[in-house]
Amino acid sequence: MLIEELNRHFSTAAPYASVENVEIKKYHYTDLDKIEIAVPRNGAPLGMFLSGGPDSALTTYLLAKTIQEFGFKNPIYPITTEFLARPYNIKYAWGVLRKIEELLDFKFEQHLIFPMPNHALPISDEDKKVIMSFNIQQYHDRYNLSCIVNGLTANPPISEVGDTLYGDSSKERDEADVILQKLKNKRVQYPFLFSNKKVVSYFYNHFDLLDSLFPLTRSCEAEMHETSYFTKDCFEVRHEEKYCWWCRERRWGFEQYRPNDFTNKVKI
Amino acid sequence: MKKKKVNVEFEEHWEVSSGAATIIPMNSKWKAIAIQVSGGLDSSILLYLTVKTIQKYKLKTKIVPVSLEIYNKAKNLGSSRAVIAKVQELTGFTNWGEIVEVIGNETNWRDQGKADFFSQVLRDLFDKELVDFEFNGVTKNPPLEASKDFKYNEFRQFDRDNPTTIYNGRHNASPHAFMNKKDIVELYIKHGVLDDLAALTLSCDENLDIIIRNNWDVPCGTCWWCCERRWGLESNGLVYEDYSPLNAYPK
Repeated sequence: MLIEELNRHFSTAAPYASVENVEIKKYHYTDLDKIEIAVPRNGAPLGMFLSGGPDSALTTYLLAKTIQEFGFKNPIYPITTEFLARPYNIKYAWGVLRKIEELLDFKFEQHLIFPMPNHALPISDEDKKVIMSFNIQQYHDRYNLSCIVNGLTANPPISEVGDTLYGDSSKERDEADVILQKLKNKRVQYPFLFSNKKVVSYFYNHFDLLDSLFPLTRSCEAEMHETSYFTKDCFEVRHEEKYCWWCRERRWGFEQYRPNDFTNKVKI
Repeated sequence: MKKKKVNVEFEEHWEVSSGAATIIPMNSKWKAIAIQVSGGLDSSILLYLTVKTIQKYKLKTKIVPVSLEIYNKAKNLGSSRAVIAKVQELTGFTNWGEIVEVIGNETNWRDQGKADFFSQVLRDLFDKELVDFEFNGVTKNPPLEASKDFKYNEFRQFDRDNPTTIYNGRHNASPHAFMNKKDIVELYIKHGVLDDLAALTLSCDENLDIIIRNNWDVPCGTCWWCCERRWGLESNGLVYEDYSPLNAYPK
């Protein structure tokens, strides 16, 4: 409830709108609740964080669609961080981009990619933030990006998903000061900051993307050796109590539309 | 003449029972060699034997592994990273150049896209004088009698049927050019790295969308490269499934 209230009172596009001349498109999912996407009227280039997951895939789709509907020509530079120990982001992001290009007859600019060490190497969260900032700054400067769009969503109610494997990165999404900091960031838009996976699935259904774009996305963070080189997910390789957080969240959001994706296929 | 032309001082022969050999050209003046590491059987043992050659002759030559990520393939950089780490562990070799990982465009296994892209990457390394020579893990095809039932065998790389030299130009070679997959597997056995190294490698070259659409495993076990791997292992009296990377990583 709190998240929905926040969404009614804050504009996720507003911080960005305050510094640029932008057109804002509102996509409602209830009479009161909506997500917003802001696009500069001057055709300035935009960066788009794309992990290959369903949230960033939908955000990328909506960003391209919004630009088209406004009749603007803003180039979109997709940006993908590949975590070294789980090299699948690039592949899934690639599939997502090609599908959106096909669906919208849209052409993305060069796919910008940088690697990120993760749990396989001794590196702190601070180190990761430094690497991230460095690369993003480089992209901003090199491609004159007016802003970067990020598909970060709100958490589902933990009580409904189960918190046994509640990841640190996901926990951050519940911290008020972190959310506030993101709202103040004038170089990044977070259209789904107040919206959870059920909102994401609503839009997949609304825009008829459940059988086209959604199957090309990946949420699972199980390891390469378990998942047959990242071609399977927790529902196919793990017992229910061991599902990763991201698979639990995906099921919570999308089970109503695609129940067969989430039946446990592990042979006992 | 040929040796002089390619600026090679000597060749190290790593022989197998068929009489064929992996021939590793070397020059004590080379500061660095690039090796294409795909994470498959061939390039992995090539990396290992190149390190052993450098160590045997106490050379100062660096090795620069070059790996390629192809968007539409199920295979990923995880295999090549695992192989490089294992060769480091097995040999204690420390003289590595910066590992090069490049992202290639979508390719079809029958087209030239991958080779052309790799050529461009390697040309760049030579232009910047980061390497003096380059190896790739290209092998000889299995005998036609063995491969006739492989999927799409009619589209195999014909230049691998009857190679005449390991040298592809002044600065590059295919040291395994006279070795087929049976010989390659024998190298693993002979050098005692079958369990440690071969099992980490992935030969499968199937497309990611085909794997997902059919809910196959990776390796698929049916593409040309999986068939070739199976033939190589079984020709040495081994069981293909025992050396699947699906069994090699800790659970």
